[in-house]
Amino acid sequence: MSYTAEAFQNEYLALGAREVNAIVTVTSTGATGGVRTAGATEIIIVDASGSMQAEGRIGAARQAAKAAVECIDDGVHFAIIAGVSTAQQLYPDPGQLAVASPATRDAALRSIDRLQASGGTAMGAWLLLAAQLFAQRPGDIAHAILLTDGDNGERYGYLEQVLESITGRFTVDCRGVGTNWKVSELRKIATAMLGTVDIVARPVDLTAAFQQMMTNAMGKTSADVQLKVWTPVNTTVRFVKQVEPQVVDLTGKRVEDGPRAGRYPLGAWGRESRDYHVCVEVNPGAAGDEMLAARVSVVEGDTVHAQSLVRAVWTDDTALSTRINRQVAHYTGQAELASAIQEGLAARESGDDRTATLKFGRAAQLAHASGNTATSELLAKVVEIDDAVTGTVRLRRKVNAEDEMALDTRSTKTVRVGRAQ
Amino acid sequence: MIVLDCAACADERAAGAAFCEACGRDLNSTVEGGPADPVAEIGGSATSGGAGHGGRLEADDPDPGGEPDPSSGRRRACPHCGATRAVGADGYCEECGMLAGRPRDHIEADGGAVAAAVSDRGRRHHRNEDAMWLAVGEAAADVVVCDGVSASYDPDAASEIAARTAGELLAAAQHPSDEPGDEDTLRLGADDETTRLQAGADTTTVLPGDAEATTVLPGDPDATTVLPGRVDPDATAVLPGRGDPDATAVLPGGDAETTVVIADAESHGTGDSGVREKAQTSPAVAIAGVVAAAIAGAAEAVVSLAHTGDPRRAASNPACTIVAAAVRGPHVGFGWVGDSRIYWIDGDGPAEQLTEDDSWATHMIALGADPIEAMDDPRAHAITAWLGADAGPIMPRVGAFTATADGLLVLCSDGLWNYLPDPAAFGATVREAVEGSATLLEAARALVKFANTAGGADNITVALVPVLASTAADIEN
Repeated sequence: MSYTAEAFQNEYLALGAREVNAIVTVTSTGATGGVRTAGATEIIIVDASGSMQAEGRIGAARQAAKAAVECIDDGVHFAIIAGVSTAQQLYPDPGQLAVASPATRDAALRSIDRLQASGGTAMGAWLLLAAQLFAQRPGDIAHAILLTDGDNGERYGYLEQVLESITGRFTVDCRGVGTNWKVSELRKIATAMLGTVDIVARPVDLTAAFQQMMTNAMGKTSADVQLKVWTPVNTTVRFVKQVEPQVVDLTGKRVEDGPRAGRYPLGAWGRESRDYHVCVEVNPGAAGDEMLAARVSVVEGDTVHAQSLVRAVWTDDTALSTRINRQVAHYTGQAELASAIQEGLAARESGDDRTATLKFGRAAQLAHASGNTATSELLAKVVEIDDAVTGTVRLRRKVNAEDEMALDTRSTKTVRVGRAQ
Repeated sequence: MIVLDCAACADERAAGAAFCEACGRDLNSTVEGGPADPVAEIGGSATSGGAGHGGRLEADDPDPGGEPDPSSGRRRACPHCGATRAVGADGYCEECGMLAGRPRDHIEADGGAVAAAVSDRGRRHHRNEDAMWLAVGEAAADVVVCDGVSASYDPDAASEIAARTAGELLAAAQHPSDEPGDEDTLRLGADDETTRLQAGADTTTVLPGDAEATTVLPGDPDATTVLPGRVDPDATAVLPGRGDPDATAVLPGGDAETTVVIADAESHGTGDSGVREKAQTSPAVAIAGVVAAAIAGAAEAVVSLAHTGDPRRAASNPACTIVAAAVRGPHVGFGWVGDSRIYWIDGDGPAEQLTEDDSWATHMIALGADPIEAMDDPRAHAITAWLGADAGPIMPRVGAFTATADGLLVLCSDGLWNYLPDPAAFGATVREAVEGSATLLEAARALVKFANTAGGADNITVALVPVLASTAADIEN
């Protein structure tokens, strides 16, 4: 795999300024011919609680799980977990992983037909079983799909405890079907496990969603890529965020790596490109001083794939220090857009219409200005946008639950900025 | 006194020493900055500090590893935080992150008694965006000073390529014998003076950027060894203030025998008919034509930068000023675009500014504005002409004269003249620097130190070229 890392920033700082911002674009060409160098393991977790009987969800879930199994490449290890009050392995035999082949895929499809909806929801237990299965294949690209339709029934705090113990071991993409599940709950899992969260409002759309997730997972060719950030003494890393394709705050996931450096997990990589926003606070220098504020490397184990320098140059020339870097400004706006939407939704839920209107107004403005039309459209289903330029909006009286949840789950989706400047 | 670090062992030593006193390393050879290294190829000799990590700051560094290149061996101590062996291969301290220095921060070119030039980062700018070129021969010198426009993107690249391109064009024009029958040959070979130059061509030494580049000239291998500090004591005797007191009576332009031409030349200056006509009568004007052509070539080179390298260059194209002069015996041809200047100093009068800034203030004063008010305006230093993709057609202004009194030609960027706006003070300061120094190079260093002491608000580049007056025989020819 060959990677590149490119930093975009205005390195010129006014005298006394201490915050250094840069957008680092990491691009990978993928493995030669798209062939994985390591093995891969896939686990499909399907909620089989009693509520799944409604609206034909369990039938759709069976179809979707089958479609996902069909997408698994030969040679990839896999398993299917039926999620009830405990975790039950549907395929293959308990404690085993199957190796994908026409025969095992057929056997898996037959076992999926046995999936019945009855029982509770225990996401912590499901994930724990997945972790045990993944543990048989260390070094694999480990990916799970989790489908649910309701609230987690486990005692308060148990899920968090499980997540803390398994974070970083595999990636989980979460999908909620219907509108009776909690976005915050699945987001907690997706964030901890470096995956995605989205709503599949109609059961009929599940098959497409599963196929897309599995195809994406099969495209990953590196298991555990990390961003290593070196900073000089007396420097604080304010945050490290993934900002494209979606906003993910990685700051808390730092693992120290020698003096003045830390590693942030980026998960599995295929042929793709992602943007990261690195913000560090340094001691200001004198006019003319130049400092290396951060050295950002893309690493896999001990291998350094690519590196980019984030610099700080202090100048009394305001023409230089006031230059706006388009990338930094754009993604700062995209991150603000995501938080404005989430704060707006929270305010709306708590009945604070005034704050909700303000937040949604700001969000409409940011989405419009940055050309994030997907978010603008989602927003328009929750508020009436009178004027996107000024951010004038009115709350809609009646909002479909699925529209609200779609806005919530997709609020972190960002768009890329042009590279012209 | 300017003190430089030895790139290898970080021992401080006095500038001008050929070897580090602590580790014995040759300070005049570049370690990594070979001829293929663009950073080291700036006008000037390799007596600059930090040559050991030249060119390692490029974004396309082939070695992405964060650890210092093991092949570079020894690591320097950090001049900022004092951490020993802390400076990594990319030039930054592994402890405090500060940049330990760039090769271009301080560059010196020593042409012995013929010419010397020093370029320095100053005290307020983070890098040196000035660039220079110096080539010397026997009583002959080519000198170019460029100042990057800091509002543009990568102005240091603009000044570097402009100085090098103009310098190479001037150097190429020095050897008309390479192309017998060429029109240039006829023009430059029109009098004894240039004939002598041709004969002496193999003694010409070019000092661009690094020590290895001094082998540029064909012919005499000895020419590659102009060492810092090589001084002809006789030559220093003709410097202003030490020469014939009669010389004060003769100013260029003040004497009927002297030709001074300040004329606009088209960007293809050598083809300009006005210049060519006079070329038949005055070698100095012929030289000015070559200078105009060299500036035009430099302009094209700078324009080409806008669409290479970093895409941000296209939005804010690299730009710079240029001032260039070629000296052949008593004949001086010069040209400029922007606000880098040439002064002529002889006797004890005020310095005579030979160039007229392409700046807002100069333009307004020419239109009748009050000079003091115009210079106080915040726009005073905004330049009205420059080299760059957005500059439109370049109209370098050129001048020529044949010295009838010994004098000193001073080329400098605004990093120096900003502190000496008064021609009398400029002349006095330069004379003081020359009189207080054993060599031209020391005098140039003293002028850089003067600007740094005064604040060093901008990059400072100074080139000094003594010009010996023509004899009666020269003038007749």
